Amino acid sequence: MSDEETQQQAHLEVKDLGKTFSGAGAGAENPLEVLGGLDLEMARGDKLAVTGPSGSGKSTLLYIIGTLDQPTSGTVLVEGSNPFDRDEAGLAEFRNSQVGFIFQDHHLLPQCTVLENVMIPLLASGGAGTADAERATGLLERVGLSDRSSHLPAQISGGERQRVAVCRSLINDPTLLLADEPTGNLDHKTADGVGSLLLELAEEQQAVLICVTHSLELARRFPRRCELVEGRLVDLEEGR
Amino acid sequence: MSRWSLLKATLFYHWRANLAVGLGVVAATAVITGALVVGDSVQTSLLDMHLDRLGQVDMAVGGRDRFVREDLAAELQEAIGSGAKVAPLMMMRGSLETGGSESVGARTGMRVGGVMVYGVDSRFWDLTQHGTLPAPAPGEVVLSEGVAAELGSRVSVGQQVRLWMELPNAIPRDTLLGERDDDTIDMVLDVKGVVGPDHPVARRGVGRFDLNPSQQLPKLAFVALETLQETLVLNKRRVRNREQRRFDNYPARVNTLAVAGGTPQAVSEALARTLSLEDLGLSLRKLEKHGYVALESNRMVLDDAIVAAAGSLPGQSRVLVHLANRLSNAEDPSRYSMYSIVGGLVPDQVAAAPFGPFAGGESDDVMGDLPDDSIVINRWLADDLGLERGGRLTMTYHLVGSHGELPEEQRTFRVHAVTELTGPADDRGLTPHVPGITDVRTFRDWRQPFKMDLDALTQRDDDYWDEFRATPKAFVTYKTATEMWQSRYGTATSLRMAVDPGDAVALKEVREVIEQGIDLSSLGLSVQPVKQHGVRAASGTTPFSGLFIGFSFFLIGAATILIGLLFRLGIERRVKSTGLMLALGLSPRAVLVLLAGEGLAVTVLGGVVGSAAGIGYAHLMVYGLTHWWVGAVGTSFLEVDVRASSLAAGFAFSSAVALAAIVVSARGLLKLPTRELLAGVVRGVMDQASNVGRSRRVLGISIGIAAAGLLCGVVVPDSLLSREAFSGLSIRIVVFFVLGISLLVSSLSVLSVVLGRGRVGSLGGRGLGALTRLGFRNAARHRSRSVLSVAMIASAAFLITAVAAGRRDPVAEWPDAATGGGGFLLVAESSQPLVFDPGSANGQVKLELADGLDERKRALLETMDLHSFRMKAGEESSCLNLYQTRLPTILGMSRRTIDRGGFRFVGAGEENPWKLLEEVPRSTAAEDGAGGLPVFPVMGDMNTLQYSLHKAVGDRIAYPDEENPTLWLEIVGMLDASVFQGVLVMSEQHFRAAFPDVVGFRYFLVGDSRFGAAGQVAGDLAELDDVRRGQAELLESKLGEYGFDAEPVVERLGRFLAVQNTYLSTFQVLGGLGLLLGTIGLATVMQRNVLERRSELALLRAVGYRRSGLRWLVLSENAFLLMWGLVSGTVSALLAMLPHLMTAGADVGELAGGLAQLLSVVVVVGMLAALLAVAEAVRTPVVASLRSE
Repeated sequence: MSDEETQQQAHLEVKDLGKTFSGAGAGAENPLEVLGGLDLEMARGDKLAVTGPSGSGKSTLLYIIGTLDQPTSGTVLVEGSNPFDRDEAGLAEFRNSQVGFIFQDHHLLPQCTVLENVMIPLLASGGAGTADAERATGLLERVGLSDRSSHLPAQISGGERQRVAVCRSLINDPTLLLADEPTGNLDHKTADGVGSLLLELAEEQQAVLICVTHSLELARRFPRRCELVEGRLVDLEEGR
Repeated sequence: MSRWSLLKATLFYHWRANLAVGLGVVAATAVITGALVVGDSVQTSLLDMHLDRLGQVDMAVGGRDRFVREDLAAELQEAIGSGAKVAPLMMMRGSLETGGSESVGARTGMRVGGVMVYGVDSRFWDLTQHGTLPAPAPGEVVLSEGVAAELGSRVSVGQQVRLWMELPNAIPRDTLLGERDDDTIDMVLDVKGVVGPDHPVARRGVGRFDLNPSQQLPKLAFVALETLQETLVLNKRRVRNREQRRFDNYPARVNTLAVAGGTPQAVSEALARTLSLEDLGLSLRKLEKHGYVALESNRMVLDDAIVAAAGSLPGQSRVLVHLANRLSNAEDPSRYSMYSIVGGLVPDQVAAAPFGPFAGGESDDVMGDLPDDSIVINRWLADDLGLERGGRLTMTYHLVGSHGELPEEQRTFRVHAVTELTGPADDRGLTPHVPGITDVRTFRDWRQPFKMDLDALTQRDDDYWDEFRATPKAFVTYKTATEMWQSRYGTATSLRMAVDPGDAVALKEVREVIEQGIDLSSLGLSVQPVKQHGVRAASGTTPFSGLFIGFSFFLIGAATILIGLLFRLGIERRVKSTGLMLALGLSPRAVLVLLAGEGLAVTVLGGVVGSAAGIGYAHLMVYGLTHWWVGAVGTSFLEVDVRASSLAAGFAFSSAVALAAIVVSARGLLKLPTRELLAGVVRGVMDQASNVGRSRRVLGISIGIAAAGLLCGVVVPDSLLSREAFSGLSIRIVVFFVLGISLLVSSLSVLSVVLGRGRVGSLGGRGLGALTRLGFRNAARHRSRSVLSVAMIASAAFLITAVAAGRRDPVAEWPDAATGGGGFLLVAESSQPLVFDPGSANGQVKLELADGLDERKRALLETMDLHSFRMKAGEESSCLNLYQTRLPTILGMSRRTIDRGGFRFVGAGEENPWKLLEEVPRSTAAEDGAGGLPVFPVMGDMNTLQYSLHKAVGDRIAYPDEENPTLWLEIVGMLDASVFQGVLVMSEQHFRAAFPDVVGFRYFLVGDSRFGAAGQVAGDLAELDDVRRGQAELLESKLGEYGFDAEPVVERLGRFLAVQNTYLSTFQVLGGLGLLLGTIGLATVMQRNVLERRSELALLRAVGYRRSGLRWLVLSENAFLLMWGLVSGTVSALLAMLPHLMTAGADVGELAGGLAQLLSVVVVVGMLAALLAVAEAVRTPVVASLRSE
């Protein structure tokens, strides 16, 4: 099988995905369906921006794909296998090795330096060695933060923190990059930089990138854009 | 980068939160370690105290009843060898009176009873730790701190004191020939020294000398051995023996030997080698004329153990003689003979020489076919009474009554034969030598053991005495004799042996057989390893570690909740980081390990600091025990002993508890969905409905239990409720306690449900009311935090209230036969036994109680209801003694007292449980197969049985010890909070069989027929007090020479309860600390809440609320939680203690006052602590807080 064929083969398949909330906030008698019959297929290197109004289920979709939330119905297949078939430890291992998260709130550990924050995911698989530190430094260099590696999160700007978060998401060479409003807290210029960085790095890594955003400007830079309407993804235009 | 470096970074970054948790761990560790150190300290101090008190003395031989040769000390020392030292010692019980010779007759001095008098010389003094305290010279006395404490300023060096003691009498006082009237002796002594702060060494050493372990200050008087021996006529002396026409040498005697060095076994073996018949008061009397030797005792009666020891010797004749007051012709009573000896002989043993045969009439052996209802008389008596074979003889004789009285019995015999007064019948050796009786010239010279009718003596009586002295005039079978005159001291007055008195070798052999065959322990001469016993008793002492951990339970609980709460608050602040870890692929387990690792580090550090703090805490507790709560330990000789093992145990235990609390908190957090964690949502506002459901279920169950308990308390008959549930607790107490706890749980569940609904009251209205309601509603935002804080406060309030309600004041109680005082007014003990029962009419006459009384006292005596008990002194086993005891004092209760009934029993179904004491003693034969030992039923106080002896109903206690028991005591009943604490009670009948050598009465309960009936309505306490005081004055003045010391029953109960009340105080203080932690916990929660709500508070300010409004908002939330905790804890505890509060001794007024005070303080402190949160609230910068939102 050629490289091209590998790339074209669906890496992520979401079929008939549904999510209904019936918790304390919703009330059992009035379940709230956020996602319903959602389908999505993406190959390695694909980049998708998901937009939609607040409460439309964008983040929910992201969290389900990232296995932080469970679907009510439907399946999620990554490289043909359903990660939800795994037990809790298996899911953790899956997230650690396959998924890179970038959140609106950078979630950097305030007690760790920039470099250490990048290496945090390595702890799940036993810890980081010298080679890992070099790789983390390389990533920081790639995002222009090599001189900040020993700083604490409190000592760097919001944009820099988000760039650190991007580096952190890539440290384990994930095949799925899931970004939840990555530029939501950033000013225009910084947001632009972070958006570019995300796209470049995803391209370099040949990872599937799904970015949930309210920013149409950022969404427009993605080859594929969808809006989440009534629980389903609707392609806004063909971006390929 | 590793997990360890992450852990380290986290630990330091969140140092404030970790410090708070660490302080919680410090508190828990300090409390647990401190409790263990206190336990060690008490144990070590008791051990040190015991070792200091005994000095070099390791063992003791004898004590009290038997007087061995003083020279035995030197002989034993040599026999043990290897550097051992043996000191002769005299141990007597006595009483002291200040004033010396001036007090004679006047009884003006102050008296101290229960004084242990030691006769000592330099040999003993050198074995003790005495420092600069001089040994008493002849005529001097050295007094202990215990005596000085009672006499106060009335005694000082150079003054005189009068010492009263029982005069030892070889012949037991309650036998026919025992001395009854002149039984106490007094001596005036110069006070040479008083142990006190000036004698620091003696104060810990000889000043507390006691063979039995107790931490209480003993009352001791040390007198020169020589002085005591002379006064008690036990010194070395030469006495003329008129019967034998020679001088007898009497060696100096002592009743105790103190041994230093050697092992118990070596000393026992050496003792067996050195002890002679003389040491046991035995003698081999040579009857040259008849060609045999007789084994006699200076006690007049041979112990059965001694007779048994001689059992293997061939050619024996057992004799039991008795003094007949009058022998008369049944047909012609005018023909009589006074004060004649009658001998009981075994017919088979007197059939041949040298003990027989008894010839008479046509028979060579008139004893051979002597029937049990017949008598053989000698020719002299036959002539005197005009009787021949076939005639009828009436014998009158005294029996010794159980209460010292001498009832005169009469029995008529058929004259079986008249034996000639020659050969074996003419034998003075049949009657043992009794100084003052058998060796005097005429009847008129007799040392009269009872009032003799000398006017009835005839010339022929005198003539017989002159010629034949104590030669028996008549003989019955030994069987008949034992039926009539058997004494509890033994069944033979002499044992004759067919050994040539001139054959020194044979005599030596006899002596050796007996000496080696005697079981010394049965004669009270066993070696007591007193030091070893004390060491064991100190290690098995009241478990203070457990006690303090128990007392600190709520404190530990509060600290644990606080640790969990603080840790959870800490990790809740970084909930997003936790969520991130999970999102990045760390498994929940890995995150838990990281959090637990952080907790572990905090725990370890906190534990180390806590261990050090625990030592400080232990110092504080020991200071408390020796200053504030001295009633609990009865000594100020406690020193802190820090053992590494206890520090390690405290550290390990508290770390485990703290870590468990931390893990539980962390797991709770990790149960939340990662998404929520990432969003920073901490389960608060949105506590799941399922948790409310759980609270509802808990509420339902606890209300159900409470209702069932209440129904049970109302519907179930009182008789059933009074029964024992377990461990001495009645069903009523258990039911109410369950009820109280259920109510506590219910109230917390109600709070949880109310908070879980998320709406506490409507938010309508305006002003402070609206703010208050908003404050209440805020409490619902973090339900688990709020409920935990309230739980801490409620539990501590429950504890403090329950403890306060548990206090009793027995002095306020009216005497009631159905209570622990049995309806009695006084409890008394005498230093010397009273042979006559002062509770009987005869005894009162003999003791001259009614003589010279004024009208009031006479009336008091008439209504006095005095019950006397025999007493076998043992170890102090009440809760006042911290050492573990083996064998407490045993009391013999008369049938009259048993029939009277009364007192309160634990779980007894019978109408009068005392009757169980009269059950026929069983034997262990069925269990151990051998001959078996008797098992006597006894009863004891629950406190004594459970805490001092660790025994329950049905258990047995070996007497004198487990190694060589001679009898067993089986617990058949348990008294509840009675005046009998520290003793065991058995029936007098059994007591006399079990302890035949215990003479007279030494323990008394005094009542008044007008007071104390069960259920009597309380009357005038002042009148009652008058009666009590009058009774005490009467008895103490009349029986002063016996060292009679009376104390109101309520005061004795009060002393016992003082220990309990002191423990309660300790408990309360520690509960108070728990409440303090609860308050700190609540304050922390409030502070945290305010920090989390900064933006809301800023918003309220932005929309126009004033700072005072915010203060009110925070305070109302705090007050809501604080009051809920206090009210639910207090009410639940009061309900749990309701049965107790309804009893007479509960002091409800004081309880209400004390509680109101305490709870007010808690409210004030709790609200003041909340001011920190209030300050935080009003300091909130409005704009910054709103922007951060």
